[in-house]
Amino acid sequence: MGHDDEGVRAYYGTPLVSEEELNPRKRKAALDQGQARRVAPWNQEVTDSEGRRRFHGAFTGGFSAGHFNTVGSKEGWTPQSFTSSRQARAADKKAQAAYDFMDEDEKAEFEAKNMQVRPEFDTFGSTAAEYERRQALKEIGDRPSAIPGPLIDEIIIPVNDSTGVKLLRLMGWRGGRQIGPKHVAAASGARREARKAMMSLAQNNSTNTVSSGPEEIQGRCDELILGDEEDFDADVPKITPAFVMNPKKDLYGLGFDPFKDAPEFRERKRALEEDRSGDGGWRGHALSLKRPSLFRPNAGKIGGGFGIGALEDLGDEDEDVYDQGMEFEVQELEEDEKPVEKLQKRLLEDPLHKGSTLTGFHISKEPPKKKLWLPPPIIPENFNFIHKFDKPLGSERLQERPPPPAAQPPDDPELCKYIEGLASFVAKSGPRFEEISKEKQRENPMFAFLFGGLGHDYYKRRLWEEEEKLVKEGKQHIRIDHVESEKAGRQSKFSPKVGADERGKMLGEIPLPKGVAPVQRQNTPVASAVRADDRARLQSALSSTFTSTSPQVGETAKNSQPFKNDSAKQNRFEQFLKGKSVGGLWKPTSGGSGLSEAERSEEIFEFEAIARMQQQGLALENRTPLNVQGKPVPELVAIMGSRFAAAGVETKTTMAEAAVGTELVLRGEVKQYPRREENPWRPASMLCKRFDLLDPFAGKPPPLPKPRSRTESFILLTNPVESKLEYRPPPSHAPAIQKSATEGPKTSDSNHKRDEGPVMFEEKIEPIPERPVDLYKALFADDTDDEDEETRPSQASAQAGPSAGDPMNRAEAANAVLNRLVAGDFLESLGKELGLKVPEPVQPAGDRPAAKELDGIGLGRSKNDFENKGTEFRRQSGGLVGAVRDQHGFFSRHERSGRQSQIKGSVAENLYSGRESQYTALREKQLQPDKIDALLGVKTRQIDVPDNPGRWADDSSIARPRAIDKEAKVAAAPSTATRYGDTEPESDSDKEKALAKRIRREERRLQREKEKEKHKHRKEKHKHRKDHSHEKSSRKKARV
Amino acid sequence: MASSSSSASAGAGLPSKEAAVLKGHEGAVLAVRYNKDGKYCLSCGKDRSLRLWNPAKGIHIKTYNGHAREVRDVAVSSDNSKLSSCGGDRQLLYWDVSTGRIIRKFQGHDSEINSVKFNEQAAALVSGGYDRSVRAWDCRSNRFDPIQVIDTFSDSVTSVVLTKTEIIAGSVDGTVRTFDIRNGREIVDELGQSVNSVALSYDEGCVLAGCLDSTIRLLDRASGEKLQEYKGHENKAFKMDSCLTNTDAHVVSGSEDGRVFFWDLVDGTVVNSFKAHASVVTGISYHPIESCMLTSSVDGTVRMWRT
Repeated sequence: MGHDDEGVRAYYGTPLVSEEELNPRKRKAALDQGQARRVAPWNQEVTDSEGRRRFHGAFTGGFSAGHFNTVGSKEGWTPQSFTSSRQARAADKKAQAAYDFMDEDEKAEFEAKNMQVRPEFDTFGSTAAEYERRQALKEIGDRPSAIPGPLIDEIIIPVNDSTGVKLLRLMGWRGGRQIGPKHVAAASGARREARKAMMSLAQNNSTNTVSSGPEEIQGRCDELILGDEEDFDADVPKITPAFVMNPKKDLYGLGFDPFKDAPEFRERKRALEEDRSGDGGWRGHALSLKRPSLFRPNAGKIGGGFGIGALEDLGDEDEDVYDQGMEFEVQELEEDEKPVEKLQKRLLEDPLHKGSTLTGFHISKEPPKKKLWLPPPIIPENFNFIHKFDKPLGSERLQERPPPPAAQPPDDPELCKYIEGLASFVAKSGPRFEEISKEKQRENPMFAFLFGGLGHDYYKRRLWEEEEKLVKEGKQHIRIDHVESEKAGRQSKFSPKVGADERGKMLGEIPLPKGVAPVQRQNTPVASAVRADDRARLQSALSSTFTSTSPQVGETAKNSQPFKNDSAKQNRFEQFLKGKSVGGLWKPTSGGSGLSEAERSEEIFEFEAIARMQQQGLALENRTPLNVQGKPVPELVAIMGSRFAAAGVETKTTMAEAAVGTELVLRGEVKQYPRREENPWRPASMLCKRFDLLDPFAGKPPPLPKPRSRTESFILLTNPVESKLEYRPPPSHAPAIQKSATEGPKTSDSNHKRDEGPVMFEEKIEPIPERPVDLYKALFADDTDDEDEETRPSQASAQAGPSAGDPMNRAEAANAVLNRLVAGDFLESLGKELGLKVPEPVQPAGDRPAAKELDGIGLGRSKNDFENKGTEFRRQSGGLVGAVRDQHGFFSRHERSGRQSQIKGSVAENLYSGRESQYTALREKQLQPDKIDALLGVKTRQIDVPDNPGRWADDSSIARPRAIDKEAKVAAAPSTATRYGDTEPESDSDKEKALAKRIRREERRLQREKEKEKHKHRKEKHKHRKDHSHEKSSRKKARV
Repeated sequence: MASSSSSASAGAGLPSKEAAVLKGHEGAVLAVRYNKDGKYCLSCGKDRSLRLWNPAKGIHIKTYNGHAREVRDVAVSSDNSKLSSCGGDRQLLYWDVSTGRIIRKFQGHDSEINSVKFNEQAAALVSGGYDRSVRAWDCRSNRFDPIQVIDTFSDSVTSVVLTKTEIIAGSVDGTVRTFDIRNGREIVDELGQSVNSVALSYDEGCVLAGCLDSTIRLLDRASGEKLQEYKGHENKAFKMDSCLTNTDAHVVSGSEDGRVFFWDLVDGTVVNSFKAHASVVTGISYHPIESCMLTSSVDGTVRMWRT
């Protein structure tokens, strides 16, 4: 059996050598390497690759590396025995080289660097050459030759045939022949014939070109002989590229061949060269030593002398000229022009060459024309290169017209003022403004003077006078384009740039009182250049909040009535002035006038402008660009647009930002530095310790990292732990909820809720931190009133739905809220983009105080309702549009309330003081209610409210909130449930409610299931973690 | 407010006579500081060294080398045992005075440090630098990282001053910020001009803020109101000090033309001014008790002035 097995078994590969068989030295080295890591550095031994010790304790007094413990080689390194060099001074001196002191491994390394080819494989003979050279050098040293220097030895290099050549020879190859089938070469037969013919022709034609060099002749003979043999060997090219030694005599760059694409010229050049050097030529030939080819040291010369003619082609087509075996190819291109000229002359003279150096090439007989250069024109001495106008531009116009006769001003001083103002304005701005104002004020009786009415003559006269004045001042030429720059002293005359002040004016900001208020006239036309909607927006956003105190305005404007046509408007204007003279915060008193928000702000804008003009005594001229409705005159806008292109291009936001900037600048200037601001700051506890102070924040958890984006802040807000830390519940809140629960009949409820709209947002302007408490409560507080809040309605509506009390559900709901928040934000922006608007409820001014009292309720109850409504509506209308609308209603109300409510100074400060963050802050403020609302919605989703969005705009009874308030004070909490039930409204809403409830029930069920699953999952995870940790600890123990 | 209407008659008791010239620094001297009792002083400069002097005798006591770049500010602990210096090499060095060893190198500032101060107990260091931050460092533990980084500034912090409970820092962003450790609040006083130096009055009721518009402003710390402005000197580019005299009666500041100016605290009028140095007066330190003052200058000298 065993034998059989042996026979069958096959072995592959090399067997492993057992470790014992290894060279003990090597083994030691390997061992050492392994040990090296463990042994301390000072105990380690340095060994070479063979494992021999290198440093033999040289530093510790042990044996040395050389001599006795001879470094490691067989012979070692023994010191030279001393021999006196007295007798043999220089001869015997043997130079020591580093090589002599090398170990074998070092030698190997050294040799590896200087790689050499062994002579039998030395195909190109380079190594051999080098070797020979060295040998020769040595020999020179040994025996000085007749010719000093290494020249000869360097030039004459013996070369061995390489192994390859030897092999080929053995195989029957003869030098200089192509390897491969013969018929390939046959293709060149025809060409060869042609060349032969050429050669003979050349021989006949010019003796000059036929070279008489010995090699050349030899080559030709060779060829002839070969040709006779009917062998194409002569055509066989050298397979290896020949190394052609062409001395570089020209001044071209290396490798550049001037005749590359025109070999004919090469030929000519050579001919010339030969011609020049005459018979005693071959200068180049003598010098150009041709190194014999490796492959055919004595290869036959092929037809030289001509180079390659146009028809001539040797060997393969792609062979280069250099490879053609032009043994004596000498490229000498003379850079000096002489020979060329000589040649040219000769050629021109020679009838044979005349025009026929090349077929189709003629030398031009005419010398090239010289370019004509003309001298520059002479400038006459009296030439003045700056043109000066004799008189100002506008003067012709004036002089054309005879001055109108002097006229008496009209009796009415106001009219007089108007006329004067308009005249000066028109004079400054050009006649076009007159046309515009004529067109616009056609109906206005005050402007009758424009149409030849009362005061027309006076107007004409004034206009002329003004123009005259301007011309005299030399200001006429700046005209329309630089009306602004005229007044703004620091602005350069021709810069169309608009400074901060001007921009502020453009945007219709009220300049706040300064030490010396820069009087700037004619800014209203600029202001009207701003687009109407922009203005409205800006107005509402910025300047509505502040008005400056200017008591003199009221006085000056008392008797002027710019809105005679519209008495209501005039009233409003007067009211505005009154408010202005009081100063401080702007209180819009023009409510109930039936004007929309945009209209109102536009109007305010207009009022502002007019008031300012009147203040400056220039009411009329500034009045012209605005028509009675206060809308910008289109033509004017066009003109202004062209003047203020940049401002026109600016987007709304940038405009607004600019406005904010200027506002700040103005405020900054006005509210003198230094300004003080206080921020909370949290010192590190260690810092307090080092300052020996009590940490004011001791025991409080570390501060939150600053949220970077809005979404992040959402997350932080909805994080229950953090919200817990950050926000304290407002003390009045819980009772407020209770109060709201005690509210009266449902119908009135919905009404007063609407009234509260603004109020609740008023509260939202308060510092943010107090708000999200509801979320926290909703999530974590298990106080009873919350529970009540949730269960009560469901009891009341006699629905047997699942109780909403369990905390799990709440957490889930919080999640949903977060989602909704994000969605809401999105919807908000979407709504804004779509430009959807919800009709605004008009709020009677009287109900505000009452509503204010109900702040708490507003937060607690009505918001819930609102939210509820929103969600329900959303559900009904399939989501998106409803939601958008919902949001919009919300915000428009918010805005309005913001304006109507008397914002406290600090709040306003807050609003405007943050520089960069202002906008974000504003945004957040807008967002905030939304957030809270959504959050609150969580808690009271069960409360059902009949939804009727149309009712939003309803006027509600003013007395209601107060009544409710009283009721709330009186009513006891327990009775609310029933009352709620009592007021359960109509049947159609019942249906909705039922539907909604069903949906909600379904949702809740799903939520609970989800929650359960989550819980399970969490448990499992926990368990897993526990196991893991357990394992860890046990492992630790084991290790111990 | 510093009630100091009992100021001496115009410039009578003010130091204006040169008492000593402390030479030794190679290159500009960037700051000079008295120690707490005014017996010694420290100077630092562009030659990357700190020097300890006895200005009264005009003796150079010791040189501390260790900074890799110019030293911009130096502070001495109240017990004279420790030094701390900062400079262009972004390092805050904590020195032992007697041995001259560096006890610790606090690293954390992202760029040049402009100012450093010890707190009352010399337990903490507060530094402000070009990296727009004020950092507090612990001297007692072995921590190398700052205890706290205050980075509410929007530009380089030029000067830091400490009271027992507050950190006051001036910045190029035009604010003087007071960080009240006890109350946990930051009070920002915007001046509208880059603040170059901040100094406290001796009653700690006012802050003197030297601004880069060649104006020194005196602020009431309680209300943040500007009490007075002092003009006349030139300070537009250089970091230089200004301070109050130890009687709180006058304001002292150097000028870029090498002069030293004295203003009456209340009137804001220039009481005295004299040419003190050949070049910019960078640092000023007023003796805590005597009527004596030190100035340092770009001309490489520290000079002591007496009445």
